[in-house]
Amino acid sequence: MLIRLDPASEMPIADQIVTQIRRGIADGDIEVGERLPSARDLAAALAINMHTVLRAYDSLRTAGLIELRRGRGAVVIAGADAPTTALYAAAAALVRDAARLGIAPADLATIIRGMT
Amino acid sequence: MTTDRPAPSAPDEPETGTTPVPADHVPAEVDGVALLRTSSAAVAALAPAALLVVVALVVGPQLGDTIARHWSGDGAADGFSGTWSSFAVVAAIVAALTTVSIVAALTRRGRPSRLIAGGAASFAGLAACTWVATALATAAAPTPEEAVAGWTPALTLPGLAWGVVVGWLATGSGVRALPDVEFDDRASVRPADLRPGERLAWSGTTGSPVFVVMGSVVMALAIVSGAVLFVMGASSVVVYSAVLLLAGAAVLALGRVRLTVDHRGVRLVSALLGVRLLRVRLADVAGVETETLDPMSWGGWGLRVSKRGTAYVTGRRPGIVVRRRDGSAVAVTIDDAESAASVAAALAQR
Repeated sequence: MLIRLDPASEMPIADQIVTQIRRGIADGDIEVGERLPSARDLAAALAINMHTVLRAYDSLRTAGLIELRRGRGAVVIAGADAPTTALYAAAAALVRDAARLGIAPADLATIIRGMT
Repeated sequence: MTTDRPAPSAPDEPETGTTPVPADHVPAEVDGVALLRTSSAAVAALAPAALLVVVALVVGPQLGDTIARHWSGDGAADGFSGTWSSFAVVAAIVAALTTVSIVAALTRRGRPSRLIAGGAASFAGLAACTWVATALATAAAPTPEEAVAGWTPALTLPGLAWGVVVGWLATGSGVRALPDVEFDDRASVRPADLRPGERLAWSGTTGSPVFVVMGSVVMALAIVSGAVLFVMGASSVVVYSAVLLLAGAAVLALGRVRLTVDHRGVRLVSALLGVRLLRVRLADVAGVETETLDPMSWGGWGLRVSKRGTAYVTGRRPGIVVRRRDGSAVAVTIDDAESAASVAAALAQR
């Protein structure tokens, strides 16, 4: 499992973590039953506050993707369903189309945010 | 020497040729001396069990239902247990340790073979001689209550020392892998693309149920043998059980591990015990590659130190190899080694 944090991104760090773990699960890179690194360890690895990682894990738990147990850490309990996988594929296609038009992913994100 | 000896499993001409080695058939030759020593070690490992049986047969008829098992400071008996119930417990321990010793002598190579075969034979000798000592002391007295220790506790020393003999004899199997069998799938990796200021954290777990089972069995054996030695009055040697307990914990720690690659470097931490097993700082990284790690060329299974470097190996599996600037290397078998290696290479370049 690889987590990248882009400091230039407007997206909050916790959301960057959530997005990448969601994508990892959708891609099949992260399998059901896999144990994620402990919040303490991931925070140390990324040199960020542990509460930021805990916030990310908590939102994944609320989404029903992982289970948090004291002492056992975070375990992936749900794989990606077909609609979610399709959504990620559509998003990837959108990013590719935007790149062709010279629109960077960050700008694309701004466009999408303006729609809501 | 041995080159003209027909070796059924070896290829016809094990020359320096480029014939790819089938993964499951490491070429081997038979080493006569090693074979002789290995068989001698296996036979020697049987000695404690043999001594126990012989003494039980010879001295047993003179023993009653109880046997002295503990001695007060002046050497008089002050603790007793059932003759044959204590024999059964000791016999079970000796049988288990003897099995471990013989299996290690026959299947492991080099130093691990010596340490495990010798260590297990030591404990077997100690357990057997402790019972033999109490049996002899009890048989020499009219009743168990009148038994005195006399010289018999000294018997435990040759019992313990027997392990040294077994360890010295053990060299591992007489079938020896030909040296320098390497697998030529070593590949350099393309460093992952990094944006300025971007932070990366790669993480993956691996492990082997074999280590979990082995570690648990050794720890259970340590606890049982410690309890029995304590009850039999040999409380001064319970420290050996403590050593065995630690050895079991060390094996158990290898059962589940997590590899992380980030700004702290490439680290391997036991997921079960939280102990850090390996670490290479990013500043020390000279190069990163992937390779199918062969236990034969990395010193065996588990956490190993060999000429090639330090490695965590669970079998012949793909892994990451990190070379340090001082020439040493660290290798770990892990799923998705390419991804881990490309992150390590990118971070090390920064």
